[in-house]
Amino acid sequence: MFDFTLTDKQKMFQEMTREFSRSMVRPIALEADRTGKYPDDLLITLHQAQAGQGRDIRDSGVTANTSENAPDAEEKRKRQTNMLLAILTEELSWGDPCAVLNIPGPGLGGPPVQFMGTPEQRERFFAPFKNMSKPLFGAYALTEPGAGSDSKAIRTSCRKDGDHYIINGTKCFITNGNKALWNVVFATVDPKLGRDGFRVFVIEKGTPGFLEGKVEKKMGLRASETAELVFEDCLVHESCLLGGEKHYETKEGFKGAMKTFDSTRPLVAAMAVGIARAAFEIARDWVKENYTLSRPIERYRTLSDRLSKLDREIHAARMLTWRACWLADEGIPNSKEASMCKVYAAQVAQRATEEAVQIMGPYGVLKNHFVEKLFRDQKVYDIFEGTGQVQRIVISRRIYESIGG
Amino acid sequence: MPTFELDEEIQDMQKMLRDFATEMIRPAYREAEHAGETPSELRESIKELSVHLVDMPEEYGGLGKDIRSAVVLEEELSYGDVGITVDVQDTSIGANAILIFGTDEQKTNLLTPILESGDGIAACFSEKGNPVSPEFIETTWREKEGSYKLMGSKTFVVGAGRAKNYLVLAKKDGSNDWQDLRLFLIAADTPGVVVGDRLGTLGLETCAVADVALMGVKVDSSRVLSAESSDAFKSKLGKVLDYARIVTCARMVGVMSATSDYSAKYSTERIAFDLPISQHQSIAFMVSDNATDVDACRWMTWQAAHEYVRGGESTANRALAHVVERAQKVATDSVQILGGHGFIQDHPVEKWMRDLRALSLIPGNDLFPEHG
Ligand SMILES: Cc1cc2nc3c(=O)[nH]c(=O)nc-3n(C[C@H](O)[C@H](O)[C@H](O)COP(=O)(O)OP(=O)(O)OC[C@H]3O[C@@H](n4cnc5c(N)ncnc54)[C@H](O)[C@@H]3O)c2cc1C
Ligand SMILES: Cc1cc2nc3c(=O)[nH]c(=O)nc-3n(C[C@H](O)[C@H](O)[C@H](O)COP(=O)(O)OP(=O)(O)OC[C@H]3O[C@@H](n4cnc5c(N)ncnc54)[C@H](O)[C@@H]3O)c2cc1C
Repeated sequence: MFDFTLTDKQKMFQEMTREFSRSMVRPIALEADRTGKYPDDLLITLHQAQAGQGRDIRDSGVTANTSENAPDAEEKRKRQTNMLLAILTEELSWGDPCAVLNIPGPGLGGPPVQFMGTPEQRERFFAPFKNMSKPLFGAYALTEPGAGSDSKAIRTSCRKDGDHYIINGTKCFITNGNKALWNVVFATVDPKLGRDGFRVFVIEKGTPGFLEGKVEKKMGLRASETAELVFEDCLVHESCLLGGEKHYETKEGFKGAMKTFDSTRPLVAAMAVGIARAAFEIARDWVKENYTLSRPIERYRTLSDRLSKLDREIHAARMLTWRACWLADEGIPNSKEASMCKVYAAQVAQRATEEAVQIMGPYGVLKNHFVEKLFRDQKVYDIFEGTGQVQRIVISRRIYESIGG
Repeated sequence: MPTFELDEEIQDMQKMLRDFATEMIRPAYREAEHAGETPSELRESIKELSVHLVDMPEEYGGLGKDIRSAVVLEEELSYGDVGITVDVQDTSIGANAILIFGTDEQKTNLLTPILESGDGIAACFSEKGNPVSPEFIETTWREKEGSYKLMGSKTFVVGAGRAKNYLVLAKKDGSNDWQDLRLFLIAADTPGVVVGDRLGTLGLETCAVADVALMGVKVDSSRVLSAESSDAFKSKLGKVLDYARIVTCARMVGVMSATSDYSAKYSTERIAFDLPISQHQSIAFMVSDNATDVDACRWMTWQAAHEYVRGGESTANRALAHVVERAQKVATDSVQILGGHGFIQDHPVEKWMRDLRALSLIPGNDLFPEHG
C-alpha cells in the first residue's frame, strides 16, 4: 500500500545531508558565486561523503558509478537508489545548486560509460575516481552552438584513420567540460544519417587536437563551470569509442545514451525543488521577522496566502519527482513522469524565487542575500537537460500514444 | 475622445531616440554594466538629448510638455538599455518633486540651475526598505534660527555618490505628523553627507545604489520644501511617488519591448528540427504573448500618465502592479526562447531579466489596494 514515510536509513541520509548543506555548503555559496570557484577541500569532502553513503548511491548509474557488476533488479528495487538520490539532491541543492553540479566523479558522463562501455572501458575510465584526494570530474558533451534541443543536428565529425579517429568540431555549454579528466563526446560519421550516424567517444584531457574553449559567463550557476570544447583534427584512439564499432551496428547505441536522461531528469527536478524550498524558507522567515510587528496585519495575511501557495506547489513538485524516481527504481518506464517532474519543478523554482524577491522588497535584489543568487540560478532549470518545450513534447507524445492518437 | 496619437514633435523625437537607443546605447550595455557606470561621453550625449527637460515648464528651462511625453521618450531610451537610462536620467524624480512642492521662488532658484546644468538629484526617501510614511522614518530635522539640521540614514539611494544633489525626506524630531515632514535639497558635497559602500544588486548594476547617512547636515531654509497641511503633504508626496511609478513603468515597458523584439528576431534565425524555432508553436505563442503584454503594459502606462495630467484618481499603482507582473513573464520567456544561449552573457536577455526584477522594486512595492 502506498506510504510516504522514509525508511530509517533514508531519513538518516537526508538529515546528514541537510546538516552538511546547512553548515558546510550554504556558508560558502555566495563567495563561490562571486569567485566562480568551489574550495577544493569542500569538493573532496563532498566526494567522500557521497562515497561514504555507500553502494546505494554509487550504483545508481548517475553519480560516481564505478561498480562493474550492476545490482540485479530486485536488489535495485529494495535500495531505491533513485529515490534516495532525489532526496539527497534536494537537500544539497537547498544549500547551493552548484554543489550538486560540483560533486566530483564522472557526472553526467558516468551513465553512457556505464551503459555503453565495455568492461575494459569502464575499468579504465572509472578507475581514476577511486582516488579521493583530488576532485576529479567527467563530463558529457552533446550540445553544439548549432544543435541543442535538436541533438541529431550535431556536426562534430569523426573519421576513421587506421586505429584512430579524427574528430573535428565544437561543443558548447558543457558542465565541467574544461576541467574534466575526460568528456563523453558525441560525434557523427555523417550528419545526414541523424542519430544512426552517432559515435560516442571518451576523449581525455590532453589528447592532441582537443583544445580548451572559453568558459561562459552566465546569469547564474556561476560556481559551476560551463565550457566550450574545440576539436581540431583531434586524434582519438579506437579504444575510446564507447562499446566499440560493433555496438553501433545495432542502433542501440544512441538509445542507451539517451536513456540516461530518464534517470537524470528527476534529479534536475529535485534540484529545482531544493531551490524553491530554499527561496520559500527565506521569504517565510523574512515575513515572520519583518511583518508581524511593523506592518498592518492584513498585509501579513496577504503574504501568508502567497507563501502557502508556494508551499503547496513545492510539495506538488516533490511528489511528481518522487513518483518518477519510484518508477525508475521499480524498473517501470518513466519517461513521461521524468519529463513531468522536470517541467513542473522548474516552473515552481521560478515562481518561488520571483515571489521571494518580491516579498523581501529591495532586500531581495541585494547581492549579499541568498535569494538574489537563487533567482539567477533557477532559470536554467527550464532549459538544460531538455527545455520545458521539449519536455512537453515528450509528455504529450506519451499521452497520445496511450490513447492511440 | 480617446486617441493614441502622439504630437508630431514627440513623434519625431521618438523616432530619433529609437535610432539613438539602438545605435548608441545598446552597444554599450554590457561594458557599462561591468564598469558600474555609463561611459562619460555617452552620458554627455544622452543629456544633450534633453529628455529630462521635456516635461518641465518652459519658465524654468524645460520644454513645456508633460509626463505623457516623458513616458514615450523614457521608453525609447530604455529600449537601448535601462541601466544606462536610470543612471543618466537622474534628475527627473527630484526635479518633479521640486516642481510639486516648491514655492515659485524655490522653483526659480533651485530648479532652474539644476535643469540648466543637468546635475542629478538622488531621491532619499526609503529607510531600511520600509514604506514611505512618518512612522517608519527615522531621519529627523531640527530647526534653529532659520537653519535646519538633519540626522539619520537613508538606504537604496540610486545615484548615491554620483548625483550632485540629494533630496532627503525627513520628519520633525519627535513628530509623526505628516505636516511636519519636509524635503531637503542638499548639495552632495555638504559636510555631514556620508555615502556608504555600493550595494551590489541583482540588476541595474550600471547604477550606483548605496546608503546615504546624514550626520548633522546643515541646510538653509531656502532649500527646504514643505506643504501647508498634512493632507497637502500626503497628496503631494503621493504625486511625487506616482510620477516615479509611471516613469518606472515606461522604463520597464522599454525593456520588455527590447527583450520581446530581441527574442522574436532570434526565433526567426535559430534552427531546430530543421525549422526556424519561430515555426514551432510553443515558441510562436511565447512571441505573441510577449508582444501582447508589451502593448497592454504600454497602454496602461499611457493611461496612468493621462490620469496624472488630468488630476483624476491615480491609476499609477494599477499600471505598476500589472507591469511588474507581466515583466517577469516577458523577461523569463524571452530567455526561454533563446534556450541555453539566453542564460549566457553573450546575449542581453539575461541582463534584462535581472534589470526588470530590480526595477520592479524601485518605486516601492505597495501595490496592494488595502495598503495605506
Ligand atoms: C548552464 C548550462 C549547462 C549545460 N550543461 C550541458 C552539458 O553538460 N552537456 C551538454 O551536452 N549540454 C549542456 N547544456 C546545454 C543545454 O542542454 C542546451 O542549452 C539545451 O538543450 C537547449 O539547447 P539550445 O540552447 O541550443 O536551445 P535551442 O534548442 O536552440 O532552443 C531554443 C528554443 O527553442 C525551443 N525549441 C526547440 N525545438 C523546439 C520544438 N521542436 N518545439 C518547440 N520548441 C522548441 C526550445 O525549447 C527553446 O525555447 C548546458 C546549458 C547550460 C545553460
Ligand atoms: C534597485 C532599487 C533602487 C531603489 N532606489 C531608491 C531611491 O533612489 N530612493 C529611494 O528613496 N528608494 C529607493 N528604493 C527603495 C524603494 O523605493 C522602496 O522604498 C522599497 O522598495 C520599499 O518598498 P515598499 O514600500 O513596497 O516596502 P514594503 O511595503 O515593505 O513592501 C515589501 C513587501 O510587502 C508586500 N506588500 C506591500 N504592500 C502590501 C499589502 N498591502 N498587502 C500585502 N503585501 C504587501 C510587497 O509586495 C512586498 O513583497 C530602491 C529600491 C531598489 C530595489
